[in-house]
Amino acid sequence: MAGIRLENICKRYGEVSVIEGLNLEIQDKEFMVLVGPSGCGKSTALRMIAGLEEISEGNLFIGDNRVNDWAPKDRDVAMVFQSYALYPHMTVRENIGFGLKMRKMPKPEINQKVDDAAKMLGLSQLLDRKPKALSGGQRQRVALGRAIVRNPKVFLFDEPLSNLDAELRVQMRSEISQLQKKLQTTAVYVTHDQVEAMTMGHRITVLNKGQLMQVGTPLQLFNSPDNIFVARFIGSPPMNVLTASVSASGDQVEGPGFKIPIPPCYSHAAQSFRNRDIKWGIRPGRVSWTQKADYQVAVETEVFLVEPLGNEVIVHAQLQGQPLVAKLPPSCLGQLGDQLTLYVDTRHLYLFDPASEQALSLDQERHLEQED
Amino acid sequence: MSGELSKKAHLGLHLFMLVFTFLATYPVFWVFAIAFSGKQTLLLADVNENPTFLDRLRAVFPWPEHPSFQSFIDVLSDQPFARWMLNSLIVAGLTTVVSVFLACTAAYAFSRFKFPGQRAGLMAFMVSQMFPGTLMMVPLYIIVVKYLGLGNTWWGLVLVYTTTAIPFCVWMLKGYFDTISIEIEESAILDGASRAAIFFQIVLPLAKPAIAVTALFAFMTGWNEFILASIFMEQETLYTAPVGLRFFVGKYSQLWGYFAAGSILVSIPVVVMFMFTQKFLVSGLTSGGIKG
Repeated sequence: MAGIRLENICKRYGEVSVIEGLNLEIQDKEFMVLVGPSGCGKSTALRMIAGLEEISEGNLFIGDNRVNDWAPKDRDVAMVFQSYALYPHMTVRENIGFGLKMRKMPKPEINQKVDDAAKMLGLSQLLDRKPKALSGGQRQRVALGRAIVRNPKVFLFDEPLSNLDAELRVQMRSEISQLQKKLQTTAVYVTHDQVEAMTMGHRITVLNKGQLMQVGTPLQLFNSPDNIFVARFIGSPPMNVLTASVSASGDQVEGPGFKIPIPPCYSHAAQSFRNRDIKWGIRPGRVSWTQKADYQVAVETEVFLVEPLGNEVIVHAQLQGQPLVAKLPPSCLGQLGDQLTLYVDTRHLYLFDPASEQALSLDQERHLEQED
Repeated sequence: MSGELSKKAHLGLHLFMLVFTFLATYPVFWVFAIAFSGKQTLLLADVNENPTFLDRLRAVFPWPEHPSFQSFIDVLSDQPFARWMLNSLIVAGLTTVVSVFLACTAAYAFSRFKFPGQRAGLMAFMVSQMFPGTLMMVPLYIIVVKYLGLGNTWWGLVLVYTTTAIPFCVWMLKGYFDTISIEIEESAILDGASRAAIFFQIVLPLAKPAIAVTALFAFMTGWNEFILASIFMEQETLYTAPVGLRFFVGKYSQLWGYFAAGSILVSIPVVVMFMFTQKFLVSGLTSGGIKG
């Protein structure tokens, strides 16, 4: 069991820099999810931890050891690949036991460990089959079995669920979480799916273009995003971010078609933006179509897309040319081209510096409630 | 499509195909007929001076007058043909083993590692395939027989055949190795396997179809080759089967019966090997080319 520490890690291919100065500390027994869009460097980071990619600069520690120059097999990590990467010519038993065989473990002991792992994953009946005779979910379990049987210090997952169908993905998601909880092994999990990230991770690291955007628990990222990227990446549909300017008095954001009071938690930070442009954000779930309280401010919009999802309706509207998405109850019957008055919950307004795209600092804790 | 053709067109098509099948296989039947005729002439039947149409038809029909195994028995007992077959088997077998082993390791390196000269190396292999074999006759004779002193040895031929077979084998195997997912190997690396273990326990078993096809090709390179074998091997006891065959039909002898029987015997090992590797042939030849 061990934590992982990335100190100023860089990865360059010739002139091209993929990861620049990444600092990250993953606690022992933690389930850390690396998430970001394609090409953000998350898989590269994972492969550097595994030892499959060289580290161009910086230090990588697993436990107390600097492992930059250690061979992958000496790092005592196990990896589950997106394509499962099972050995097609070996049976399930041989697949799971291969790592132990390579480590010269006596055969009876290998069999015992393989049996234990197979039992844990419900593979006992399938031990003599070849991978091609297994379903996608079963193959993924074999890949998991191959990882857990060695009892490594660290599990690495590289988008392990993206080849599975939606239903199986949900099931395997909870299985992997439970497995990690049971084995208490440090895990690093790479995905581009923010739902996977939110549901599985103890903490989430958001990466973009090789840069660290934010590290935190799922709720921290959702409730207090550090910047526009995280605000829009975490949460579905993404947070609305609109351009406006701060009034001369510094107590409201104004733009074509709206005047919205700035919540007290920002009152100090907003002062320095008086008469200047600013970006403000609101989650689609904080936009409603009925006014229940006076902290909800009306804006006039035009509907241009309605997505009924059964239990809710996603309405894409235009607020004087700026898009505003609202998550509304199914009873909302907005139609294309309709004029629709929407109500923005001002208590949940987010403010961002338009130049740096960083969130403005809060004067006081925001009072957050569950979404209605 | 098949159901759409009219009956007439169907018949015509079949007739057309039958004619060409007959033309293609007729010489083979003729060889069989001569081999089983027990005689040493090219003629299967005597034709008198004023042959009738039926006589002529009998003369061209590939069926011996008195079928017998005599030519087979004689070619193996009176002639040193068994010895020549054995020579061929040894030479072709060694060629297969050496070239498949070297091609596997080379192709793996070409497929997986980046090194200076990688592209140039592959291109050189390709270009070497484009020269006609006869061009190499004199230089090879000088190098192998005069300099290396490997005339009249199996090793001389194995050396030459191996170098001839390797370029094609490397291309073939590289194409196949390229289709094996790199993640499987990475997975093995993390499982603690050494490069050698990955190569022998993961990659080679997965490449079986391609290796089977490559082995068949390498074997046939050694088994069928005539020109170099005829100039390297001067002692009669060291002849390979193709050289021996030629020996039956020359300026001073016209032993067509032995020649035909020997030809059939020579083709047996290749046919057997083909049957063993047949199931790999299709997948091996296609899967090298496309991803998936």
